Amino acid sequence: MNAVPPPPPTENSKFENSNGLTRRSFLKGAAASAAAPLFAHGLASMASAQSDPTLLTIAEAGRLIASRRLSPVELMDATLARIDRLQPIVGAFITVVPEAAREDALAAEREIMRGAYRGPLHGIPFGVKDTHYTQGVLTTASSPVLGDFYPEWDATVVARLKAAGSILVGKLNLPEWSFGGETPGTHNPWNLSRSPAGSSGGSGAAVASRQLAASTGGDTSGSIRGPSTANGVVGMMPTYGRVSRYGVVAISWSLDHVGPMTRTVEDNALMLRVMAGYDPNDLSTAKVPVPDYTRALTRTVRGLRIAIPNDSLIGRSNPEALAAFREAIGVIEGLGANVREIDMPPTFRFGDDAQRIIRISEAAAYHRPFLIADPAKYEPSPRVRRDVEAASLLTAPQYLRALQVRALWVRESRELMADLDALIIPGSTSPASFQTPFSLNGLPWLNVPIGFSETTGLPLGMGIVGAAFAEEVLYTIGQAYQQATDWHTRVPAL
Amino acid sequence: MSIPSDDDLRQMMRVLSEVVGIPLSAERIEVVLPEYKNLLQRVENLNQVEIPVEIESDLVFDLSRAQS
Repeated sequence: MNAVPPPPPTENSKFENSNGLTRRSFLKGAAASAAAPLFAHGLASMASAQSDPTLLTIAEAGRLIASRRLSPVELMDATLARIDRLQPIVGAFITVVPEAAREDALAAEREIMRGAYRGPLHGIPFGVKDTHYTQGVLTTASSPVLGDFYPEWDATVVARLKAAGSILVGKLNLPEWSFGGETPGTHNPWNLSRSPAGSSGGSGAAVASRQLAASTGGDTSGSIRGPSTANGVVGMMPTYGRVSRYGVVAISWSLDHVGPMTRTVEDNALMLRVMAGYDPNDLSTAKVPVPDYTRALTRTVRGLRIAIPNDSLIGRSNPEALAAFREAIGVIEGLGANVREIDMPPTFRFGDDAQRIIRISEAAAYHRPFLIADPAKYEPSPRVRRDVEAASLLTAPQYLRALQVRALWVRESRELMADLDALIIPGSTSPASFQTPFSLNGLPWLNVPIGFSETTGLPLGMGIVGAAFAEEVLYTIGQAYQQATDWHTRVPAL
Repeated sequence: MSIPSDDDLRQMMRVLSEVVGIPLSAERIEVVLPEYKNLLQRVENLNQVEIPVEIESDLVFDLSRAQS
């Protein structure tokens, strides 16, 4: 990991502003104006939160910071201490920037003290997958091809999170170039002998192990959804075009999605609200207004029309995963949703083939200059070079055929979702695989944890899929489920 | 359409790779051949899809068009 060892936390640091206020008075001063209960879910007591603020969700920490019961500096100190302790065990990070993070936390504290509060993410530490450009901070995509690349500007999502007051802590691990469903060097916090999946494995592991409450991932073939399931976190692959890809190292321009990975649905909604929106630097982004996703958290699921795949599609899934899925569906039905089984439209079974041709053709175009310049740098990951070289031999009509199949699948998907509010799918399925067809059609998919395997100790998940730009409905369903269950409150023993 | 024999594919790959500007050595062709065959099989699968003539390639993948 690239990092300067952090100095000891400054518990008694004497921060004073021009009015003679110390950090202690920053906190005490707000106590007099304490408002409603601090923790909506009752997840932790004030005592344990103050002793370990890394256990707080974004929403909880945000409320404490807003009411000046928690200083961004204290939160950052605790975060960096936890990262320092767990990095040798979990290996989630490629780069940590402790000094800059502490400076930014101090700046956030000063801003809040003078009344310049930016919102629920102000003072919240965050990390990003190391595909995201971060100004002045090493960006590797986990490949030697990029060399010592220090971007001169932030990716749009990074800039937006910073503008909301969040504080960058570090860059999260991934397989080389985001190729693959594993994350070498990172361990699953729930079972350290197991993988956190990929390619956003560092992001998922960091959130699951409470090193961060806020992280981002990228998904082309399941790279937010898979690690979200494997690490028991909430991951959103938003509608294609909902979140800017500008400044994010690409696999495939028309299939890449960037989205938040968090512990709770509420936190995810808070992050997406900041990250989403049209970006003139990314013409694939949609000029569709960004709603306040947190408003969806209080809506009812009663009467929602929900479908699940029929047994011919998922009946051979892992028995534990299937049992947990059926139990989760039972919870949602019990809350008043109407659930029925459906089959998939005819083009569904060609989705994986079309996604593969499109993905690897676009990747080949992206990698072409690097491959020509120095193919030897691809040696650490021979699969990437092999796949890109093979795709370089495909013809334009072959690629366009795949695009035609996608267009047909998008039309069928739109018709499928026309009389549904959501389609809910197990986190991993057999015989049919849903991940690539559902990145191909660009529809939003929210992963929510639904239990744990008794065999492996690993989390289990479900995916809630909606119509294009219908992320609100997914948050409504996910929030209702989390309020009725407590899987998301479990903490790995590390 | 059946996928050409391995020998025919090797020859195709040698020529094609020169044309696209990423020339493959005989050694690289052996490494890449299985994946190239995999991709051709997938292309062949897609050729079986009945696509209505009005379905255009989504050259600009923009779901927001459905919103307007």
